[in-house]
Amino acid sequence: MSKAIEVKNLCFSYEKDVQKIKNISFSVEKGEYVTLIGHNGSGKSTLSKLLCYLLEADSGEIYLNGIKVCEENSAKIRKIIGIVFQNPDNQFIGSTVENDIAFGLENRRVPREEMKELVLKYAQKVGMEKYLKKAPDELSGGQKQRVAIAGILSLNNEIVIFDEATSMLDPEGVEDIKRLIRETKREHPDLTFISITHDIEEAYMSDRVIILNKGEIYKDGKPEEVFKDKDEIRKIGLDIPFVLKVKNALKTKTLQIPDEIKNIDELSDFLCK
Amino acid sequence: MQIKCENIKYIYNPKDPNSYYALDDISLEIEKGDFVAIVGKTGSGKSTLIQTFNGLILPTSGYSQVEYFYITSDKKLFKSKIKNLSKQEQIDNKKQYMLRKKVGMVFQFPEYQLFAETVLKDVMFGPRNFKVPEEEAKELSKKALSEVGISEEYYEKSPFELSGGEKRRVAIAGILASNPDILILDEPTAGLDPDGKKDLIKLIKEIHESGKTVILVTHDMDVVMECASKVVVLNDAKLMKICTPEELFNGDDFETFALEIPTFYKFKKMLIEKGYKKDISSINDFDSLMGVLGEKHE
Amino acid sequence: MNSVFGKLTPYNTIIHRLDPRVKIISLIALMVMCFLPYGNYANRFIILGGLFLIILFIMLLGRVSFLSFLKSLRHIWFMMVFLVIIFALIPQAGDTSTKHVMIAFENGYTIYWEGVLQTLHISFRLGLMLSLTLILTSTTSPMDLTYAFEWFLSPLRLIKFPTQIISMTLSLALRFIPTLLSEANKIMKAQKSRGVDYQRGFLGKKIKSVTTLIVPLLVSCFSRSDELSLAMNARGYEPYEKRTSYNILIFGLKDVVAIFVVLILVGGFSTLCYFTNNVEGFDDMINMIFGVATF
Repeated sequence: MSKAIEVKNLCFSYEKDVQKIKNISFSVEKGEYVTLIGHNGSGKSTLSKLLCYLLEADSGEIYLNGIKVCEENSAKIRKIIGIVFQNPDNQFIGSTVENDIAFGLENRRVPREEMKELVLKYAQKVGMEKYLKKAPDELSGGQKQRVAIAGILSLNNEIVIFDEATSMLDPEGVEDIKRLIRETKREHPDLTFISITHDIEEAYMSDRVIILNKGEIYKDGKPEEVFKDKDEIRKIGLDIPFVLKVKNALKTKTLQIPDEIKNIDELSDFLCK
Repeated sequence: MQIKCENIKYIYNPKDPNSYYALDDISLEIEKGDFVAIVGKTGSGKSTLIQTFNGLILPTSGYSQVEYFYITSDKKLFKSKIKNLSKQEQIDNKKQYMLRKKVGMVFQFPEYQLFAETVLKDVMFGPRNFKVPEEEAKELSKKALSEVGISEEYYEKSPFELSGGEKRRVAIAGILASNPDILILDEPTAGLDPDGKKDLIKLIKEIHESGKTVILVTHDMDVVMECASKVVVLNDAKLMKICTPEELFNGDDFETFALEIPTFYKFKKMLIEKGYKKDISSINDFDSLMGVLGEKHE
Repeated sequence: MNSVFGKLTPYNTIIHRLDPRVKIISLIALMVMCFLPYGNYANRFIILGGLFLIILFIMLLGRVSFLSFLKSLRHIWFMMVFLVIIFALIPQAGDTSTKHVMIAFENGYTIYWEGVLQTLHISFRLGLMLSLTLILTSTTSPMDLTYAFEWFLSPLRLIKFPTQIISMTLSLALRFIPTLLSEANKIMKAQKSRGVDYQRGFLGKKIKSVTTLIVPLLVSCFSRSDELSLAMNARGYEPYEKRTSYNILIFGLKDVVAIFVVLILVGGFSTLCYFTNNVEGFDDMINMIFGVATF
């Protein structure tokens, strides 16, 4: 069985001398939830665009479900991988919510009757069925991102990338979209999920964390392992998750907290026991 | 007192059937040298409020006051207020740019305001508009650029060649260069990575320590916790409370304002609710809390 | 948007539900009716008055507010004044013996009834046209207009003209107008805070102030269009490929009826036009009924 994503010796540069992605190799299993962190300019977004064939690699290979990412396979690639971008406005293509959800379906030449059903189904899934006729300027940032997510989900891709999908939203919008992501993940366990984020708490909840630094993979592994060495994490300007901070602090006081505890709710339950 | 609002109301789209109050009867005072955070959910009136401080928005009724400047669309009120001022102050009151020089305003995503051919020219644009002599404007701009950490080799570059974080710092320098007494920032950390955020917070703290009054509009409660000495909470165009960050985070009404509270306080609150056996309600920092939590095992 | 052409109203009247293609064709047909010559001035005013009543009835059906019509008239006020100057005050050329003097000044300067009436007549026509456009724009969404536009262009597909690209461009432009307007507003506020005064200042200074708005706006436009094209690409958009369409225009019974009504109107007004110009005694008949003097 082939892997969902396989990247081999990938290199990319926008300008001649500045290499943005430096010889990256990794693979992702089907159904895995991977968070990709690293600060601005570390190459996260470039990597996501390479995966979707929105940029062409200088050298190296990418395989999605065993299919090579290249010009002649571009139509196939689009059917495997979908991406939700950062700016809610600049990915809202249709004039209304329903038109925007339908946009990808129109490109796939889905017949109109089927399209109508799909649009309604996915609008309901993201809780936007009451806003079908609304124009983007009548919606909040969070609502626009919901529509973008519906648009991607309706295409039934096997791999979905969230490229800092919450970074331009207010706290309410962030919570909203994070909740939606969790629900989606629960409903579609087979979906391979790549989330590019600055939110280390989200990273801590995922199956696997890849930290990029200056175009290279700095760390790759389970969240507990990746965040274990806090000095190394701090060195490249990242923080460690709150729960882990508490765990570390209490460990020095010989209070051991089990690894399964991942959020403050469980943590406080444990401490009050 | 340096800034004062007295019963200000602002009606958005007054003639439209969909008109609504963006500010509803707000009164507050801000002292010189304060570090004030204005918080509230989207649409609570935060941005409208700060825009009355530099006259971009004139209150429909009531007035905002910045030192001897009065800001209101109520002409009668305005006249009665400036009546007792000196001649010069009266003249200043009628010139918008005098107020805007005093109150520097950094909008959300300020990098979108850059337009000039070079970084230095862009930063000098403000002081020039405020009729600062050319040489002085240059000096002030260079000083502002060094304050925000943009080195000399950038001066002649196009602002559009810079990275996102650098652009933002140049834009902030563009405001600092006019040497305002009051600096207002609207969501300055939005869209930055953790590193960029830390740098910017440090910069804002330094600006505050240099003696300026700083007003910060933000959703980011970590920033509020770290910097502000006073928090103004708005909700649905109304003033909810003015308090210290600790009071806000330890209080139990922040959920009604739809604010996201720092994880530390959320955790502390959960422990209290779940009946943690020791009294931790007065602990407001991470290390002391860990001390108490770890105690029983020592 | 505050313009002469009004804005879509949030109702769902029969006029709102009509096929936009039918609406556009009817608009053009009725506009032509406004411009037919209906004999002498008295006839013209009476017949155009009739047309106005019909248009008023359509406005009522479509719940187009009369107030917004009056407001949009305000925009052509300047034009009317201009026309008055041209037609009434400028001395009439040619044979003046058949014309009717309204006011004769002592210096030989004369204002003729014909000049005044012509101005009024043209203004009347303009007003009618304006009300027709207002009906179209306040009952049809811009998107529907684009779809209709695409349909009208569709014969061009025979010569391999990429009509779907044009309509996609058009609909994206319409989609981004509000976004860019609010962006422009934000930039203006930011620059005002840096001391720009967009109202005052002489030409040179004004140009400079406008640059501070235009440059950032263009920069953001380009970055937006970059991101937009990535987003479209990622969702599988290929400009020259065939796509299905979520929106289809449905030509229903009400549209047939509408076309029928418009045809009757066109027939009626054309007949009136023919009669007023070619049938002797018709003028007199109208004059008898309405009791107005002939000019």
